[in-house]
Amino acid sequence: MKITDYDNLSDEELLALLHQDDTLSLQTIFNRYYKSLCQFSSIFTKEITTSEVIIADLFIKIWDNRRQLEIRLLKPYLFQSAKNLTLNYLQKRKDPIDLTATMTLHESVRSEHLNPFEILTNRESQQRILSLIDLLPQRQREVLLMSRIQQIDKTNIAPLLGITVRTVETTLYQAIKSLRDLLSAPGRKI
Amino acid sequence: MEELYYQLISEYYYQTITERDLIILQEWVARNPAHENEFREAILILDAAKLYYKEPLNQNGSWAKIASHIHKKEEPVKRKISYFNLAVAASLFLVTASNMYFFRHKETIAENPFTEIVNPNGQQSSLILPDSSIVYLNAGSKLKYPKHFNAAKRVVQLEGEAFFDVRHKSRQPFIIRTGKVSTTVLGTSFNIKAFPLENQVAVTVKTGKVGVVFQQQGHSAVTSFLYPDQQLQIDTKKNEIHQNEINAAAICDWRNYKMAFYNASFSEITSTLERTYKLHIELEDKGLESLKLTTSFYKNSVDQMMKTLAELSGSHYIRKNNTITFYK
Repeated sequence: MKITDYDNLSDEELLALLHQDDTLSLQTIFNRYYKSLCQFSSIFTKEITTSEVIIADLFIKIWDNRRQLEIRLLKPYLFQSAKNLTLNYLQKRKDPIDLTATMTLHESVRSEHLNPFEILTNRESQQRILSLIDLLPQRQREVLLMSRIQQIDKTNIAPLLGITVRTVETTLYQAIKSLRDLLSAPGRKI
Repeated sequence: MEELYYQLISEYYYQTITERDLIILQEWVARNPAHENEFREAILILDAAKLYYKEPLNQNGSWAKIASHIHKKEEPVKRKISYFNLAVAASLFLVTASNMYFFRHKETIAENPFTEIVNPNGQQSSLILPDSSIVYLNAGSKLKYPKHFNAAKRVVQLEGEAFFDVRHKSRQPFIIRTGKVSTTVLGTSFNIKAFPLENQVAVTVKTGKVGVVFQQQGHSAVTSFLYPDQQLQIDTKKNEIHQNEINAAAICDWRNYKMAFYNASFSEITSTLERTYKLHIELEDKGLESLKLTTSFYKNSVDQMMKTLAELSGSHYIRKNNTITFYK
């Protein structure tokens, strides 16, 4: 079977082939989800290269367990496993909290006197927003970033964070609101 | 802004909004210029959040790792598709004309071929080693490593500067050779700066424990064990060793174009900037070379940095494209 045919198979069809030791199906799943999984994992690691190592390990584990696996739906399984593996990895590494990063962000916020939306170009505003995303409360940050990953939507995000879809919606709005508040200079009303 | 309108904006952005809700949103935006601002800002935020992500750089490398694991478990049957050819062809192999000198020394050991990554000035890169350790290689630097690590030890060769995040393997130490100095670890993260022309090797530990061995006249001597936020500086010409307590995060931050200089000579600072930003900096007044300065840069423009250096040293500079000349 040519590789192009594999690209048209559904997740469930690929899973069935994987059960039968088909390496091309693993590779197709890999190509389909690698980028999203790495970006998802990088929400927690904050470093895409570290996440790439974790996700490669994930696929190795999947291959090793392919016969015992009882997966009903591939996508939730992949993202849930990626989250578990990532958090385990971070636990083991026991990184000291990166205070330098947080301090620099605080400084850059304080040093800005301008309302970024009015005076800076769109691109400069976006850079400012990016630097502030890591300052959001954890849940808001996670929901906002997850919502921007290609292949997941709020119905996927909910079980990953152990909350309802409704909570995902409200948390997303809170995140946007928080960022707007963070961006306006202290003491000024927009 | 009420939550309702955030919800509508979000649905509009993700294109899940109903026609009826779209009309409500449009009316709300049209009603008041402040609403239009709020609308624009929310969209900007959602756009920006997408830019948060970096692109994965090593998809081929990751697949190569998975493929080699799969094939390890198979019987030695003739492979129809060679994953390795795909992976090796896609491995990072950067060459520039000015760096051709390095390639005259390329080794071809039949049993264990080497990979060599060369970063020209102005270019940083990151890579994953065969054992899943991560290396961030700075500009103007090169790293050489085997395709398969020796079972007893993992050995790489570095010329220049790199930050290592080494995977822990208690029975397989990781060794970085930088000329006369070798650094040995089991699993840890640290920065090594060893530019041959500077006759200096500096090892700075971020996490874990690192052992540094300095070869003096054919004898190896375990020089030091270093712990986090400790740095060893070795002058390979004068055979002098200094151990410092230092902020490791600041030293390792060149990956983010954040550079800190503590009592560094003017020429050391300009060398670093030349490498990082692909510049050519000349000091007309040779007295400037050894002037000691303390300063830091973070994503500054070239002109901003040159202006800072001029102010600190009481000098002036002129700039023509990427050539800068300092004079008194």
